[in-house]
Amino acid sequence: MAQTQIKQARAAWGFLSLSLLHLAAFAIYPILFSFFISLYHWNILDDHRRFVGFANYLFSLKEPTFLNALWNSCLFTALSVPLGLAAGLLAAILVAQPLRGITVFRAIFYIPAISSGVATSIMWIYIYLPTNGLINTVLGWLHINNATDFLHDARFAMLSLVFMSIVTGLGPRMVLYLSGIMAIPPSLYEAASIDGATGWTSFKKITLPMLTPTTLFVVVTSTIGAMQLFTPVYMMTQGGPEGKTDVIGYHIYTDAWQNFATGLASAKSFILLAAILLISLVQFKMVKSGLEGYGA
Amino acid sequence: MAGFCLIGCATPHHEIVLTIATWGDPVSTDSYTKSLNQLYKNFELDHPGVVIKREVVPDQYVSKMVLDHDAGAQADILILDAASAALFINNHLVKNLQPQVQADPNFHLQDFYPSTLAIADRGKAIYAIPQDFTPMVIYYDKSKFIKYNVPFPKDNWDFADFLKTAKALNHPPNCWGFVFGNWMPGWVMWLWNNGGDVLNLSTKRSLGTLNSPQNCQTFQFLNDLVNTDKVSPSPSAQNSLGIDLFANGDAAMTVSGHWSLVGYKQSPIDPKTGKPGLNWKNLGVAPMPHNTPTPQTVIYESGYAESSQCRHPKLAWEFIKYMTSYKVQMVYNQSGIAIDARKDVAEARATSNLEKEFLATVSGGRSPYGSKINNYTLVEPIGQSALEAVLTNHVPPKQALTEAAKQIDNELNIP
Repeated sequence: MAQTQIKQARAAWGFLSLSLLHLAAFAIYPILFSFFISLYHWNILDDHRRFVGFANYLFSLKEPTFLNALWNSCLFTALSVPLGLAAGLLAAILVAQPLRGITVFRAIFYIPAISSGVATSIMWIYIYLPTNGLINTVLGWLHINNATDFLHDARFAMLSLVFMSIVTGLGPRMVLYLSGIMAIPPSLYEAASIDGATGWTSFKKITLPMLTPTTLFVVVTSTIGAMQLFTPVYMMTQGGPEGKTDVIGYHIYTDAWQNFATGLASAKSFILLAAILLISLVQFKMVKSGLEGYGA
Repeated sequence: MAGFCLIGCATPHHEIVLTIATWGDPVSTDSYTKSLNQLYKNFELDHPGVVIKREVVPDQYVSKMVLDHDAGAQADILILDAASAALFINNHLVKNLQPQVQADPNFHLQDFYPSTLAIADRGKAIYAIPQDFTPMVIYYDKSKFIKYNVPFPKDNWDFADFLKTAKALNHPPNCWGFVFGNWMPGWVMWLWNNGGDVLNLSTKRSLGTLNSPQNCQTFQFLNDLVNTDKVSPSPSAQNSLGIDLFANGDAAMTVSGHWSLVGYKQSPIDPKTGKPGLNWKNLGVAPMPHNTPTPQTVIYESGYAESSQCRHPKLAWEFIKYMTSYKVQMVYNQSGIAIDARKDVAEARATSNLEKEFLATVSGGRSPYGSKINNYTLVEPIGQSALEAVLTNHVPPKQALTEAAKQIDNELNIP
């Protein structure tokens, strides 16, 4: 018996070893090393690297441009996550209907998610162009001012990124919600119907509570993704106009790869990690009550 | 038999690979690339066993070069751009070429324009041998001036003369008086020509310099060109059109460097006339308008530098000498992308009035700040953002410039 257990353990470690090695080399070691250099004045161009303790962290938390980036990331998250969630749920409800050819719509909604982030961003630059862009062309047809430069106008730049993220993130959220909806036993709706529940009441009392675990997952993953926003900012706005779209991901990138201040950039990455952890914890706490009510 | 095989296999392949890092399109097959490849081939023929390998970086050249250095994987020769030369020189990513220059009786620094050598010199040390350069100038289409009966720009014109000229030429959408682009390397000279500046070089501080009354006045002037006098389409409107209005024959004046001539010579055909929108023979070049005693412009340059990790220093010097020689530059410069840094080549090629007008602006040329200050590339997006705030979001110039100056100080003085 003991020998069988040893054999099984050996086999398990054998199977796990490659994954563990990969994890250690490409995740654990870089994270630890990144934390190490965050405690140093560490510039790629400067060989004199000195230990500064938490000075990089303290400097970051007083740096106006970093605080602006932190605020922008929070704003982007606060807008894009709930709106994206609602859009994903709405799309899932629509494509959950047993209609002919509905899989085509599901595929269409999902296409932006499998497209390259760079290619999608370039496409959205054209959508947002003043006068000749898709949105401005439609506004022109409606005899509304069609000269708005969405990506360079301080009033609209962040909203433009939010709208883009809702559309491009629709597919994955829709799929998650769709699988959640499909997993709800039809008998619950049948029982509710016998009790006289209307469509809206069924949605409120059955669908939404039953989707709580899915919602928690979508909220947490979307929040992490939103806080790490980079590609669209790099491609479309470079943090402008007036720093309105300078989010943390882009800010850290400029510190690390344009200013070569790797120690400082690492410290900012850990501040970002702390912010994400904090937000996720709050989200878990908030949804926990819902899960308890649902009986999970 | 086996012995012969082993001998055959063990024959060392005495190939020396000399790597040259540059920026551009890695898969380009245009005439410029073909001509360059031919020049490299000629060097290989003169140096049996040597292979020239061109490493073309399409984007983020500076970051890539810094990482290569950190990883101990630098190319042997780096093409240095004046706009970012300081980062390479001040951080010892490239070698001082003075010992090679001094030891080589066949190489003379006097052959080059002093203003181009100044970009990569530090006292007696010289870190790059210049290849070519361009001053930023005002291009104008003489046919438009003749059509609207406007006198050609004079060398001593000021901002008011420029505005008057632009207004007289302004008949949009077929003829804009001027095309203004929000690209800081292309507008920094407007600040200089009104007595302003970006930084105080001695303190490396921007606050108090960038937000000076002169610069506020210049920003207001540029804003008025676009938003009040409307002699130039807004940068946003230009983006939406997606064309170079001047090259298309839809504008009378613009600011650019010598490289634009390549495009202007291939101006798109106007469907109405069946002729190019811009006949490059009608092109004129004028110095920047200036409220200062003399006009000032910026000189952008590229040159050859030897990396600090160069594996073949002697060969690298031979190559640099070859590429910056009269014989090679006479061929290389046929592309017309820039003015040759060698005086003899530049003068030999300046057969047209246009080229002579270009050469005349060189005396007022200044090195870009990027050739002296580390990380100056971080300053330019901030400057552009400040002007964008004024042009698009109607932020007062003083506020936009003060905010930008604080940001620049923050970026350049990170501990």
